[in-house]
Amino acid sequence: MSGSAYYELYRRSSIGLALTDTLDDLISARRMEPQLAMKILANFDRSITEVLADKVKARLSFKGHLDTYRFCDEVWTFLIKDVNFKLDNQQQVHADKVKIVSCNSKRPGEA
Amino acid sequence: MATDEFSQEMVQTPTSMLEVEELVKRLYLPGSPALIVQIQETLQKLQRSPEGWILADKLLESNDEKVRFFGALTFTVKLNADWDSLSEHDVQPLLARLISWLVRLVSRNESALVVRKLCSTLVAFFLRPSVSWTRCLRHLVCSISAGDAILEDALDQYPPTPELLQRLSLQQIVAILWFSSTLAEEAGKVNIGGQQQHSLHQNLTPSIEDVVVLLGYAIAPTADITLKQEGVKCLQSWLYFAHRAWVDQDNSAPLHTIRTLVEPAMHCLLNEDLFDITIEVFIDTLSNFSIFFRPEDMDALSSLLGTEWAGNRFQRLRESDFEFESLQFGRFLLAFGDATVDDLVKKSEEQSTRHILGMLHGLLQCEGYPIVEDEICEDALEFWNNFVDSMSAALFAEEEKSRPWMGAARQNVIQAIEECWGKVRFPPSEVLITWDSDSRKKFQDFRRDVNDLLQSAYTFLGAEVFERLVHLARHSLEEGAWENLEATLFCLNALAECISDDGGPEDDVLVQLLGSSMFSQLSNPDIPVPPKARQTAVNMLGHYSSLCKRHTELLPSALNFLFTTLSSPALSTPASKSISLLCSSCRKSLTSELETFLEQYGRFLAWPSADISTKEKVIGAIAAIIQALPSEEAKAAPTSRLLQFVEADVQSCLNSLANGQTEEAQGSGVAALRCLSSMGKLFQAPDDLPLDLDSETPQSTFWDAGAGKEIQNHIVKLVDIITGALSQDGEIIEEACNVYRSGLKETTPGPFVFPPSVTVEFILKSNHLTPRVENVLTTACVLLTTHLSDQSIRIDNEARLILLYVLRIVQSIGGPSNEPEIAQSCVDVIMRFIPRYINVLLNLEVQDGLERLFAFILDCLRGDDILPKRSAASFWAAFVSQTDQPEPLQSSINNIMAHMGPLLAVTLVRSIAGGAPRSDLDALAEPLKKLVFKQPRAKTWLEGALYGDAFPSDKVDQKERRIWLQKVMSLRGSRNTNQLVRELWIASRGTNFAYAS
Repeated sequence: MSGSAYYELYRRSSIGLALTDTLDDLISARRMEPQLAMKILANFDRSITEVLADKVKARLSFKGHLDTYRFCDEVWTFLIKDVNFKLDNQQQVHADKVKIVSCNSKRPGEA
Repeated sequence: MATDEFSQEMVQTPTSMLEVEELVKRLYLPGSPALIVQIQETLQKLQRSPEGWILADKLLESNDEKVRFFGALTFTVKLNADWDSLSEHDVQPLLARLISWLVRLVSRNESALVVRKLCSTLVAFFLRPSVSWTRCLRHLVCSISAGDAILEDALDQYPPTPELLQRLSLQQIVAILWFSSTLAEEAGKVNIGGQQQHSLHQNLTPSIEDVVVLLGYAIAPTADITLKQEGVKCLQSWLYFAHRAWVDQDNSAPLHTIRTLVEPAMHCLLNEDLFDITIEVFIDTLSNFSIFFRPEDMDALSSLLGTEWAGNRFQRLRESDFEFESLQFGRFLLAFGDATVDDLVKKSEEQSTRHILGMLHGLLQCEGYPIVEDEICEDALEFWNNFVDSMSAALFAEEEKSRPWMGAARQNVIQAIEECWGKVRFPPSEVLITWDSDSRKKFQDFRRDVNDLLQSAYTFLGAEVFERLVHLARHSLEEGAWENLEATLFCLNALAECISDDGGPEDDVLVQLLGSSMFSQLSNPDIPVPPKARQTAVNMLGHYSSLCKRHTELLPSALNFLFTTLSSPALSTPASKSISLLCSSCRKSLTSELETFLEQYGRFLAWPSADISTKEKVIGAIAAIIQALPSEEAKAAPTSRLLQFVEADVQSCLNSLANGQTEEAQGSGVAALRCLSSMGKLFQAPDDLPLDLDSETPQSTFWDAGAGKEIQNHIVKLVDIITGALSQDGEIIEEACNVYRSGLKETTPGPFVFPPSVTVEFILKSNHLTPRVENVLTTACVLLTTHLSDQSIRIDNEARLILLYVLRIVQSIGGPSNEPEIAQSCVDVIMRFIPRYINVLLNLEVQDGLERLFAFILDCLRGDDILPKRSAASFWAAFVSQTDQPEPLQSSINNIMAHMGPLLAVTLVRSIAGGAPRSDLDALAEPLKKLVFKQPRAKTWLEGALYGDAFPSDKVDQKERRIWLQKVMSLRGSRNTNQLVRELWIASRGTNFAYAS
C-alpha cells in the first residue's frame, strides 16, 4: 500500500553506504539539496525492500549452534556459532560467529 | 506563424487579460523547451503577484477549457505559496469563492479536467494547517444543492445529506466523489506520526460519516453504473487512507463507519462492468489491511466464494483462461486465503473451509506449465508456503499435546506437495527448446520455490514425505516415465538437507530407491532417458553423499553410474561435482577401489568431456581417497601417479608455447595448476576426524625428510615450470598461489604441506610488476597467519624476508593511490606481524625502512581509496594497542608512538571532522578508540589535532571541540565513541548533512 513505511536497515549495507556517500558528494558540490537526498533515501528504503523480496531468488541454507536468541520490540536476534553456509552451487562458506537480526516485514494489522 | 513570432522574441509580460489568456493557450501548444520555460516563468510571476487571486477568478471565467484549468491551478499555487498573505478575514470568503466556482462549473457541465483540478484546489485549501473546514463534504453537498456557496454555519438548516443527494444530478455527485477521492489521497500523503497528521485526522474525522453516506449512495445496488464506478474508486482511496491512519486502531469509530460499506461493495463484485475495479479493492484490502474486515465480512466473502458466480470464474481459471479478469479472481481467492490462513489451518474440516481449501488446491492444478503458461500457480504456491508457516507458528504457540487440527492440515499439505510435483515436471525437449532463456529461468525459480515448501513441510510430515516420493519414483521407474522420475528426484534432492547427519527412518526409505536398479537403468545407453533426468540423478548422489557414507553398499553402483555419465559433455560437470562430493565424504570406504579410480581417470582424460573443470574435480576426488590411506608411505605411489597425469598438461603447455600457441599454453598451464590445487585441497584431512589428545605418536617425517620429500619437490617443480614459462599471466600466478595456499591450513604433514621457506621462495620471485601480485601478498598473509599461534613454530627468518619484500614493493609503487589494491595487500601483510613477529617488524635492518613503512600506512589512512584506508585503520588500531610487549620492544614501540602519535591524531581528526566519506567513520573510529584507551598521551595528541590549524572546518568552534574531546576521553574507547565520531562529522560538514544518521 502507498502508505506503508519501510525500515532503514539497508542504509547500512554496502550499496546503502555507497548511495549515502554519493548523496553527500552531490550536496557538497551544491548539486542537490538535503531534502531531496532524504527523499532519495526513503525511495531507496522502499525499493531495496521490494527488490530483495520480489527479485532475489538466490538462496542458501546454513547449520550452526544457536548460542543466544531474543525477541524484543518485534525484533528477533539470533547469535549462531560455528556456522556452515551452503550456497546454491553447493559451495560452502564457514563463519565462526554470525548474528541474525530479523524484523517483521509487515506492520501490525497487515496480513 | 505565431509560433515563430514567439520563438524569435522574448516573452513579454502581458498587459491585459486577453494577452494572459493567449499566453496560457500558447503554453499548451508545441514549442521549444526554452520558450515553454519562458512562458512558465512569466505566468508564474503573474500567479505569484498580489493580483494572482483576481487573475485566478478571471481565468476561470474564460471560454477556453485550458485557461479555466489554469485558473484553478492559479488558486492552488496561491494557496500553497501565498497563504500567509491572507488575513484571518479573507479565509472564509475565499472558501466561498472556490465552492461557488465548483457549483457554477459543474452546473455548466464543465469538463472533468477542470472540475478535478478545482476539486484538488479545494483539497489544498482543506490541507492548510490553520484551516478548520470540518464538514467539508456536507458543505459541498448543501452548496451544490442550494446552487451557490452557503455558510458553513448554516449547514444544520439543510435537510439530511442522503435526502440532498437524491436531488443532485449525476455530474454533481461525481464532482463530490472526485473531491472526496482527492481528499483521501492527499491526506494519505501527509507524513505519518507528525503533528500535521494528528490535526489533519482531527479535521477529517467529522467528515467520515458524510463520506460513508456519499459512498453508500454511490455504490447502492440501484445507483447508476457511472456513479458506482466512481464510488468504488473513491472507496479505494478511503481504504488506502484508513489503512495508513487507523491500521493500529482496530476499534476506532471511523473504521466502524467505513466497514458498513463492505456489503454494498460486495454486490458491485457481481456486476460484470464493475468487477475489475471492485476486485482490486478487495485484493488490496485483504492483502494489506485484512483487519479492516469484521468476522461477519469474512463470512460473507466466504459465502460469496461458494456461489455459482465464484464457481464459474474459478472454472474458467482451471481451464487455462489466464486473462486479466480471471487472474484477478485467482488473486482475490488467494488474498482471502492469506487473510484467513490461520482459520484455514485450524478449521480445515469444516464444510465452508473445505470448499475454500479445495479451490486453493485447484489453483495448483490449472493446465499449463508454471509461469510460462500457468500464471497463477506461482502465487498459489506462495499461499501454500504461508499455510505451512501458519501451521508452524500454531504448533509452537500451542502447549497442549493433542492438536485436533493437525491431521487434516497435514493432509492438505501432502495434497499441495503432490500438486506441486505435477507442476515441477520438465516439458518434453521439443517444448523446452521453444522457451526463451527468461521462461526457463522463471520455471527454475518456480521449482526452487517448491523446494521451500518441501523443506518447510518436512517439519510436520517427517519420513512420510520421503515414503510417498520414493514410492512415486519407483513407480515412475517401472513405467519408464522419466519426466515424472526427474520431478520426484528433484523433490527428494530438496529434502536432502532435512535429514540429520546421523540418519533416521528416512535412510531405510531412500536406500530402497538408491539401491534399486535406478542407476543401472539410467546409465543404460539403450534406454532413451532424457538428459535432465540423468542430471537430476547425478545431483542426487551429491546431495545424499552423507547417506552413502552411512550405507557404503550403495557406492559401487552410484560411482559406476557417475563415471559412465562423465563421458557425456552435457552431464560431465554435475557428474564430476558429485564424484568429488561422494569421494570426499566416503573416502575411507573407497580406498580399496583406488586402483580402479586411477584407471578410470586415465581413460576419462581421453574423452572430450575432460575439460579443466571436470579434470580438477575428479583428480581432487581421487586425492581425497589417497588421503584416507592408512599410512603416509602408501600415499606416495598413487600421488605420483596423479602427478604424472598433471605432468601431461605441463608438457602440453610447454609444447604449445614452443609452437607459439599462447592461448593453448595458458589453458594447459591453468589446467595443471588447478588440478594441483584441487589435489591440495582434497588432501586436507577432514574436519570431523576425532582428535586423540593423549596420543604420543610423533608426527611422520615422511613428507619433510623421507621419500615424500621427492614428491613435494616434484610438485614445486611443476609449479615453477609453469610460472616460469607464463610469468606474465595473472591467472597462472593466481592458480600457483592457490597451490601453495592449499597446504598452509594443514596441521599434519602431507604432500602439499611445504616448509615455510619453500613458500617464501615462491613469494620472493615476484615483484610489483607481477600480474595479480595481490594474490602473492595474500599468500604471504596466510603463511604468517598460520604461524601466529603459540603452538606453531616461529618463522622469524621467513617473516624478515617477507617484510623486506613488502618494503621493496612499497618503495616501487610510490604512493598508495598509484596501486590501491597492492597498497592494501601490503598493509594487510604488515599487520600480520602484530603481535608475534613485531620484533621482526621493529628490527628491520634497512635504513629508514621502518619510517617509510609507517609513513606509507599513514598515507593509506589519509588517502581517498577505501580499501587501503580500511586496512590502515585496522593496522593502527592493532599497533597502538601494543602496550605490554617485553623490553626492549616496548621502548621501541613507545618511541615510534611518540613520533607517530601526533601525526596519527591529526590524520584521524581531519578525516573525522568531515574529510572522510561518511561510510568510513566506523572504520576510523577503531584506531581512535584504541588510541584513547591504550595511549596515555592520546589526549595531548588529540588536543593538538583539534585546536591546531589542521582542523578542516570552521563550523565547530573551540568550545565545541573541547566538549567533544572530553566526551571521547570519558568514554575510554567504548562503542559509543562511534556516535560521537558521527556527530563531529556532521557538525563539521554542516546541517545539510544531517539528513541521514
